[in-house]
Amino acid sequence: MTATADIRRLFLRLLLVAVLAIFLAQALFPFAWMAITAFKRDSDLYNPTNNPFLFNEPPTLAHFRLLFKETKFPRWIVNTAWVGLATVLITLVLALPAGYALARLRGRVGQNLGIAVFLTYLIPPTLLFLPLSQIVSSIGLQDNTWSLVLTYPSLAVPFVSWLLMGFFRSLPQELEEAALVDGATRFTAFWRILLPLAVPGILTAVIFTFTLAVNEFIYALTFVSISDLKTVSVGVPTDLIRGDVFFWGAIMASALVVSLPVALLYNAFLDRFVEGLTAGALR
Amino acid sequence: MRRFTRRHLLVLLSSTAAAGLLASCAGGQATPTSAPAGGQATPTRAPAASPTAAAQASPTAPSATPTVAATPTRSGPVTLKILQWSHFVPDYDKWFDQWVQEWGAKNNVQVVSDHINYADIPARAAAEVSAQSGHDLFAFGFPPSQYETEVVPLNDLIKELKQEYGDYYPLLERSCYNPKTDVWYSFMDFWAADPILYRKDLFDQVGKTPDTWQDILEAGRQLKQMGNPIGIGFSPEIDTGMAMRTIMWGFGTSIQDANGNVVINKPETLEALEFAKQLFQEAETEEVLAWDAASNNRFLVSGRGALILNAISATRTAEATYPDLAPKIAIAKTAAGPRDRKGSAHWYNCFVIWKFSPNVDVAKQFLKDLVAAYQDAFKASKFYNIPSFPKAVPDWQQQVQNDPNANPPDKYAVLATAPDWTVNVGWPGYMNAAEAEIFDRWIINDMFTKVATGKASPQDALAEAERQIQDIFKKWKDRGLV
Repeated sequence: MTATADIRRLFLRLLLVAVLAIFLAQALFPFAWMAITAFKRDSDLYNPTNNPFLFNEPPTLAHFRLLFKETKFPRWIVNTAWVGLATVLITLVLALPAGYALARLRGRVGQNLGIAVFLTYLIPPTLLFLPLSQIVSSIGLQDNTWSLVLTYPSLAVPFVSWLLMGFFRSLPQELEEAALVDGATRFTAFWRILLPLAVPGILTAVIFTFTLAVNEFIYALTFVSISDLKTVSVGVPTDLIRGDVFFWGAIMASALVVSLPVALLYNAFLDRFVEGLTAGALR
Repeated sequence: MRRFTRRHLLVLLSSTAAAGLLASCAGGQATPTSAPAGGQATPTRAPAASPTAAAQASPTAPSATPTVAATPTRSGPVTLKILQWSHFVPDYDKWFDQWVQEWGAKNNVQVVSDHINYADIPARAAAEVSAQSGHDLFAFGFPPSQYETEVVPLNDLIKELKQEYGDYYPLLERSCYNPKTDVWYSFMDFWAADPILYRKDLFDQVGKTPDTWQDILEAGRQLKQMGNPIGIGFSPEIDTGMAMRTIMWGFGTSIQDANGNVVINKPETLEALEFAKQLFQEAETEEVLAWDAASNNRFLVSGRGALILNAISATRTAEATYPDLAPKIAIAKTAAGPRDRKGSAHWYNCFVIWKFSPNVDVAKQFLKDLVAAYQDAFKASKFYNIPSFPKAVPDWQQQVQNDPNANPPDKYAVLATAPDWTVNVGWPGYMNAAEAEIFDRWIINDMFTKVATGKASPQDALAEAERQIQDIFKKWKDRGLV
């Protein structure tokens, strides 16, 4: 009986490992491919008789040299970081109070408002970029990164408000009420009691918003055309895809450079990120 | 020993990132709209390596401001903003950006030269028209007939250029002029031919040359069995759109006639559809159903593809990155069909001047001077940019006979004949808004693909396409543009 149970447990464990291995391979494959291609010589990469998964010739930094010295990639990274961080800040300023208010609004009104806010997230940017370009132009922000800083929150705020609403709902209201009884104002209770508890949710919002700003393409393409002001998502395809010719090594090098910090950030906050995403799921 | 926790990692990373960001910002510019990157490490805008006269550093051109040339006048500098695709030859963009600096310095004009990926041009154009602001000069890769009402007529510019350089290639007029409204809505400084690029070694093995569509089909049957199929797309993308029209013209059919009447519904179209079905089923593989604009290039340089239709970007790529393969690739005229030998141009570099531009005269002057500089432009583009005014580069057809970088040196000689067999989208009529919309909606691509894959009979596919085409023509005729 014990032996059977052990075998069963071992089998289940092996199954678990096998499933995890499949998911892991699937998740890591793009990164592995990106890394291999970024360091491969063109003569190795483009030789169809070579094994594409191995370095058949010594690795090279040529693609990184091209990226950093022959394009404006360093400037695009700075632009992307600035736009991303500013977007995160504006989004948090707007979504934190919105999420809190929606969480505390009882009854059907709060629920419907929450759904309504989320629905605005579903409007695709491809529908909005034309009317938004009129607004951007009329306020004189064409070819200015502020156009992105001010429009990206329109994409992030609805989802982040909705996310934070769920998170705030998972926090016991009694904590705030205790603070109010002790003489704190509503703002103080929110600032001093709830916000520290909401850190996992806020981190989730930060990562979501930052990656959205880094990945966004259509606004970045249509609002900014000056090379020095482009973000990575537009600058790379502009300089490294020329007509029907792709500079694969340099494209992969740029993807690697940009994705590594985000991946490390995810990893550093992984537990809290999961906590933030799943908060309120059981309520 | 202290543990190195995630928190430590985070602090380390944040500090490094913040330091990097601050350091980068310190080198940047506070008002980047008119200023280049602070780092200046931007050789994409550096002087071209090409030993052309125009690429020589001008003493008046500011060497450290690659994207913007500013020479203020007493009343303040005029700023001319130009947007065009990122040319497949990086050296051409280097030459162009350097040349505009020099031009700006000579003419007291501040010039901003921006580049975007060709696939993003339509979205950017739509946004600029919607916002009524953006660039003064905007270059499309395809005649922008649908924007005729949004652009400044260029009739006077063409007249002046014609006086100076004589006749242009008919492709220019048929791509940029609307006879219905008598408006030149764009100016195409160059076009790129779309010849056949094929593996000579493989075709030699089957004893064929791809001179006619029938030759391609017969050779393709054998080549497919050898593991080297033909690579002509059957997919909703630009190269397929051009290839299918090329087949139609070879079989003596077209969407419209010379007077803009829809004439697609005729036996020759059915014949072309039947041929394309044979070509797909007997000489190609199903991967051409998922073709994109770069697929044929990849297919050829992978060593598997036996033949594609493309601009010379594919052979130039091979020369740069596949030195063993490059000498095996040959270039031929577009294939002849039973009734004609006509092929679409691959790229139509059509400049427009938006109506909202405050610098119309400066923009026109720029285009005139660009034509004057075409000797250097042609060289910098590695023969890709065929000038619309042949006398702008009088010896271009001699130049292509001998390219020291090519193997064999006369590899590109056939380009000299391209003006004879290259026609516009919309041929035998003029390019117009209806033809542009039909192209953009991939109606011809769909018609051929449905037949090739057996999803529709030639008759049904043609009837469906004709219905859509008639509707589109009616719409644009009602608007007075066709």
